[in-house]
Amino acid sequence: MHVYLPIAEISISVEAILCLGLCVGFLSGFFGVGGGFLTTPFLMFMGVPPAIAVGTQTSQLVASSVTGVLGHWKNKNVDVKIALVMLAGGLVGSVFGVFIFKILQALGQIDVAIRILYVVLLGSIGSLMLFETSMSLWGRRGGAADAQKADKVSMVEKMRANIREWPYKIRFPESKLYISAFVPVGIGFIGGVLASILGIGGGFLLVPAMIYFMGMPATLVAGTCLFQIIFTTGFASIMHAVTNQTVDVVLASLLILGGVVGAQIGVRASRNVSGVWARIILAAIILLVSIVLAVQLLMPPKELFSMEVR
Amino acid sequence: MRLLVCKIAFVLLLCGVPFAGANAQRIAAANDGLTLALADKHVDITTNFSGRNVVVFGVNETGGALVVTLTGPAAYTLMRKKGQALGIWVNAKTYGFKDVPLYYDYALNGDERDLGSMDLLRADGIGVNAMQYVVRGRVPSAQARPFHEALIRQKQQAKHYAYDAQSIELIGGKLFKVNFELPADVPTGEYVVKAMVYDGNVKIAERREYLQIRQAGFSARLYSYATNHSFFYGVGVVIFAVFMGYAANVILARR
Repeated sequence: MHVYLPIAEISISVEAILCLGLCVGFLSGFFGVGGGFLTTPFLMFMGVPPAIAVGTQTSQLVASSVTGVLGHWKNKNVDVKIALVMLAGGLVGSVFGVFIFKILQALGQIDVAIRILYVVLLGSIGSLMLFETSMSLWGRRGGAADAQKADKVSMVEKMRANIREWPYKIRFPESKLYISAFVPVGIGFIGGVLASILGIGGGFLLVPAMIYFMGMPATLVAGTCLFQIIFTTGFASIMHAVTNQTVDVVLASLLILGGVVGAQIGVRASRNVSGVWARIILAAIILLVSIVLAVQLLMPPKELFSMEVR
Repeated sequence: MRLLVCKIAFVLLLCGVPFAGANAQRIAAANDGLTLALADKHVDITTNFSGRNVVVFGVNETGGALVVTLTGPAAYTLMRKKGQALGIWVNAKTYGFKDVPLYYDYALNGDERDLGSMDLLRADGIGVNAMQYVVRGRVPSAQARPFHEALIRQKQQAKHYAYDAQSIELIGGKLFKVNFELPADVPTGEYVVKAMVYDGNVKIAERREYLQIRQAGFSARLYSYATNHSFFYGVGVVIFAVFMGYAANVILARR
């Protein structure tokens, strides 16, 4: 069955979109990541213009973040104060990102820019994750790995000590932190830029940043990050709707619907798989997507010309 | 000398007037002999739209050769060509073409297609290969040529331009019928259906009708709201997403 997307002004297969939502929902339920990094490239692959894919994806992220955060909220695993400070950076980042998006669109390089950013981000995160998890899986017995780990810990400690010296400190009682406001604002800013340019929540980047740079307690990180993502992506969504008119509510509904069902299946499936293996599979998927995108950038394209109607 | 020029001009004028008059009369008469009608004045695109047929009817009593075209609204269209920069394929060169029809399809009488009258049609801008666009900026036409060809090729691949002329169905000699098939992603806007009759090398009659292709119903309301009240539309989408996310959580928690 086909449905006509009123904003994209194209007709698209309902089954394909539901299936994509299902797969992404499965990943988010299984690994606890947003999965936006898969939706945008696949929507583009299915013929949805990049601008519509990114704009619409931001509103889908609002729904999946709300679903995700409610559980954390019930368990009181959300540090609202840090989230609000991060949000300040996130909103500025969103405005900045939408602005950059518009410039790249005018230059006609938006598709290339999105691809390059994806390759760099997914490639580095994927290989880091794969390296770390495989080290913890196979290197547990080795003394060398232990020494390496100690090295790394001291490095992180040094960095955190350095960050503790930064000015404009704020106390965050929930996380028992007393750090410079620049850190959460900066991390939020990056999240906002990623949300509006790439249509991703950026959880896979924000979560490690919050752990390493801020030293936030691990139990609070996921909930706080998701809470903040709701507002950043919601804001980015409104910005895209106003400045670019690229948010398609019909497409968003289909993605959300598939995502809800997929998340349920994912959560159930994850109970049967150990955490380390889940991380390795996720890292492999992330790397695969980045390799496919990199090949598209480096190989001579079949069609040299592209058309844009203004 | 000046007198001579004036005399010649006067004679030429005298000779020319009756010819021009006769031609105009002939065209007027031929125009009366050509009628054109659309089965529907508009095509409504609703949420389940998956393409439609547009049927054009008419009567051609002039005896001349008939051509029917369907032309979509025109738009400024950019063609970009990829090139390698630091090993990465980026959009390197761009040409803008003015007033490119978003859609084009045409039909010829079965016999005409064999008559070798294609040159004439080409001169009149009929047929995909005859389309001439104005390139923005001062660009030598040789440089813009590959971009122009790529534009037509891609429009044809998207089924927005015809590869070849369709045949006009003749019913009992004078009544004609053309069936244009619109794809699911047909661009919206005002389309022009033109019927033209050629006699020898001259166009003797022309009739046109307008066809509105537009979103209708739910889909149209969404589109107009998203363009006219984009802020409230954006807020609405976000509220809807929050609600969907909340509902999903409630359903998940219940199970």
